[in-house]
Amino acid sequence: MSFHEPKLLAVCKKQYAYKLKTNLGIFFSLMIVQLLALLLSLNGSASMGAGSSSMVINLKLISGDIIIVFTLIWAFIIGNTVAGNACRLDFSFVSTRLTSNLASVCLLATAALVGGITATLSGVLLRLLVYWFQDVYTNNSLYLAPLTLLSGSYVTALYAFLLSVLGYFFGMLTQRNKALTIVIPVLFLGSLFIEARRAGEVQLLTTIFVFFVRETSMLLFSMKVVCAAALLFATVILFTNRMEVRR
Amino acid sequence: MNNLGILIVWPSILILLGIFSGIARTARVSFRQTRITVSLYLAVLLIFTGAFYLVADAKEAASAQDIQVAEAEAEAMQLQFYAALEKGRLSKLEGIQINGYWNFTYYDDVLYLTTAADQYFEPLVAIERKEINDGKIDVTSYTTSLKFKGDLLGNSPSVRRIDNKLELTNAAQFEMVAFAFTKDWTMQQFSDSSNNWHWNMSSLLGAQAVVIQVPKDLQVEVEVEQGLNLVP
Repeated sequence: MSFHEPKLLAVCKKQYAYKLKTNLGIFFSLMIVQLLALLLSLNGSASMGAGSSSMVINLKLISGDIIIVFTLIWAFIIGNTVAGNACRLDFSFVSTRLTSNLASVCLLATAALVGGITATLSGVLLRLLVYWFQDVYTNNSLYLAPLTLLSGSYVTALYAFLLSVLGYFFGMLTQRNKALTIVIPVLFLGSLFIEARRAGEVQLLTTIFVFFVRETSMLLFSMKVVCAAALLFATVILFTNRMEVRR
Repeated sequence: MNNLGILIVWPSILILLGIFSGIARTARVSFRQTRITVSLYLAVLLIFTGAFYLVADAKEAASAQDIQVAEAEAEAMQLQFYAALEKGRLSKLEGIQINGYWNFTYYDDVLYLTTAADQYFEPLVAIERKEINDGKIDVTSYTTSLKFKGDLLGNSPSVRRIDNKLELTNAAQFEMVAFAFTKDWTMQQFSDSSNNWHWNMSSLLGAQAVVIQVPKDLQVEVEVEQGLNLVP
């Protein structure tokens, strides 16, 4: 029996550094995902057109939307991956489930921050490439104020963080019971189909989506994301607290 | 999002999830390699962001106009075009372009205007009388140029004489692709100018007209009443 009781913060810090090293591949995959999205965005993320019998104008709209969507999908995946790794690799040194979860959430926050910044900067790169190599209708909307860029990065990072925590939550659920690997996607797809058939009625997934996406105050949005992430995280702590050391 | 959208978009996202999941799990590279690659990626992004601000700042300073002003100009040009057409002064209009010219020798008393089989001839048609009977018909196609593509002009219609008829045929369709920038949705969510999908595309198509100059006493009849739009 040891009389030395390590402090929670110190263990978390150590474990965070360890997790960052073991999960460094997620940043490599982020790069691949963003470059792929950049290539797909070169042809425009939306388009609009007008025409007469002699002329058709097809205006393609350039924005970083596809890059952001891909980054959010990546965030969900890494949440899931980190959860899987957490259950396999965490107990290489003295730690508890709580420190492991705290370190994981710090890792996800770091990944979300990097994802948010790089997604927005990739959008800037996209604008520049299109400006250089394509026929541009107008340059007036090319410019992005630095503050706009900053807020874009911040919001993308928050969305990425929320989705990564959601991915972590599902990852932990499936670690607890492998049957959930099938049950959760089936439930998700099933509810999508049911909601699609019940147009006009109260729809849970759409309501959750609108709850975040329609928020126009950045402060409230930040609070919503932090609260939702905290709720998911607290649930994870509660049900993983009594999990075995290695499954 | 409509129901069909949900049914298409979400399964597509799930498929992407599977692909990315594969990438995330198989991307096993060394710590050092990853650190170098990711640092390089960040450095490239930062360099391009710097370059972007050099380019975009210059553009911002050079052009104080915004997109609505550019469109207002296009609309004003259209109005000027129609006014000049009605007054018979189209050739004098500043910035007007000629994208087709034909002339025919014609000594009959009556000329019939017609269009290619069952076709609605889209450009406006104006008939101007010369002051002399020179036995010649001059046909000119006028158009406004597409300002955002330099002085690019649309295709010209085709005009041909078949006995006592002048047949007008629409131009071959000209398709043009252009690019414009919008903000990312994460930028738009908290911005006042969240919706910049306001462009009036039809104003960009410009205006086109065919002016037929005929000898002083030549009688002109329209053979297809619904087939063309004759300026009074």
